[in-house]
Amino acid sequence: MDKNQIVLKLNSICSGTVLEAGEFGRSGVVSVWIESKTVLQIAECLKNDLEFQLDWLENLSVVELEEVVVVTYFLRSTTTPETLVLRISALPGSKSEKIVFPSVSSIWPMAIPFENEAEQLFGVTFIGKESCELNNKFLLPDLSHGFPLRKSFDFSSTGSAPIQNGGHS
Amino acid sequence: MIGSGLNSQTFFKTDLTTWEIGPYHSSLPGPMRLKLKLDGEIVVKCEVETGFLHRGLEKASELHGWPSLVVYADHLDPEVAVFGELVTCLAVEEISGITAPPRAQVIRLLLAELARISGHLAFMVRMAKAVGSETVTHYVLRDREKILDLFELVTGARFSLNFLRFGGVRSDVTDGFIERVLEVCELIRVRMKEYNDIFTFNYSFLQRSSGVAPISKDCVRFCGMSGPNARAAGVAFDVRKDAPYLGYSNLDFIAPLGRGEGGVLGDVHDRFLIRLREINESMEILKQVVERIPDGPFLHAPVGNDYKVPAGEAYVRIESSRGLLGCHVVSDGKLKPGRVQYRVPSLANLMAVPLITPGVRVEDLPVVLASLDLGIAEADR
Repeated sequence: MDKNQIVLKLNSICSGTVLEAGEFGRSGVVSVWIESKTVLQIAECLKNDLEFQLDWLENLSVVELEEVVVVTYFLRSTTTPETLVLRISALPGSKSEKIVFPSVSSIWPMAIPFENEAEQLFGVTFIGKESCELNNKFLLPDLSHGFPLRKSFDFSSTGSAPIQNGGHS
Repeated sequence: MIGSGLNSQTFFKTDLTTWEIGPYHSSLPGPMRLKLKLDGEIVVKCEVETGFLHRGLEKASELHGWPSLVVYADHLDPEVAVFGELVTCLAVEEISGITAPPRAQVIRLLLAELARISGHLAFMVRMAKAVGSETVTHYVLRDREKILDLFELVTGARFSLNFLRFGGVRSDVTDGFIERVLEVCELIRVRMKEYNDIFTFNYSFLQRSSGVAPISKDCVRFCGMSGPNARAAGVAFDVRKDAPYLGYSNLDFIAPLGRGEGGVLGDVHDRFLIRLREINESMEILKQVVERIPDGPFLHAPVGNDYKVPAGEAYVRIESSRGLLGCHVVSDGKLKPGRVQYRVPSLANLMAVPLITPGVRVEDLPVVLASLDLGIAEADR
């Protein structure tokens, strides 16, 4: 499907949900930025609609772009050659404030380990996450503060500063 | 107790036992914890806890200049370091809009297939250890050394190669490398037959692997599994075939699928056999490639410490020895990466452990874990 068809389809599911549509980098893959509150309905459509059949969440990446926390879903179909990049975003109030997004684990269960990591390292809470017997939540020490993958992370809170510039002063 | 009035079912009924194994144990593929509920010696429930090897690799990548990214990528999965380097370089090259010269692409492909063979031989070693076959462990390690020798010949290092560069490779292949690759391929071809005779179809190994802990197609889809574990379950997806890179589309090879030769499709024996067949395919690829290494430069342009990548982002995927390895790189046009994120196949493979282990005997658990080829280093990053 081309970009315009995808935008029309997604807007027909949730009116006005598509904030931006374009190509992802130089790859030519369609990238759609949507309202975060509609992500579950959109995800369900992308997985189950016969025109998409994007049943494999290949990757979930969280990035901080100019203080905005962006969640990127790299989607792929196991039955067709379709791929799509889906994005949602939110602006945290402060460096210690957690951000809340709906979890897509009920649609794509493979999201669980990615969401677990993002919770710890980026301070993103995914509401409605399914339970899983793989627990990869303990990436940080018990007494650690803050979210290391945010740009605002203060290394002095860890008691040790990172080596920068290859160790040269 | 015979004649006491208790039937055997009442007598042998036990409460579930709780066992915790790890984080450090010789039967585990790396630091991880298993929380088991056992009924006698049968696993009823298995919880997996990881994170003990978290090194903050993705954060560390953001703190240093672009050229250091290759060094960190080496440590993503130290056992098959080339794949981390390759996916990172491809992602950075996509943002920069540069392409490695044809000669460099072929050298990368050679190293990637050698790493795949090395990774699968290491898998065989872990399988042999898990079933207690010391002989095969030593034989296979001996042959894997030959691959590491080849890495040393080209890069000067055996594990953390630090050899790929944005836009090519660090240096050209050394004299005699091509001949040595062909020699090693021939040696491993002969040895594979030997391993099949003494191990693959050995009665005791078949008993420990046939029909044990099968992975279904549903499980593959549920966990998002890829690579040899998914192909053993009959799911035909290989990035080299479905989204080719490095010129794989010009090569004649197949991505083998599980056939259920152990009795059940996707069982431990299928997962073992699929990797043996992939070693053969990798050797075929190597033979095709060494005959057509093009002349020309091996590097687009040297990369200095002040190297800047233009603002943009890329997501690249390759087929590592464990499955689909992805890399999402974001650049804000500065001297350091804005974000580097890896999609590693071992997370999905770990997610399958609690699903396939119920019903497995506790002594088979190390065999099941070894058969999944879990890379804890890449899962924890």
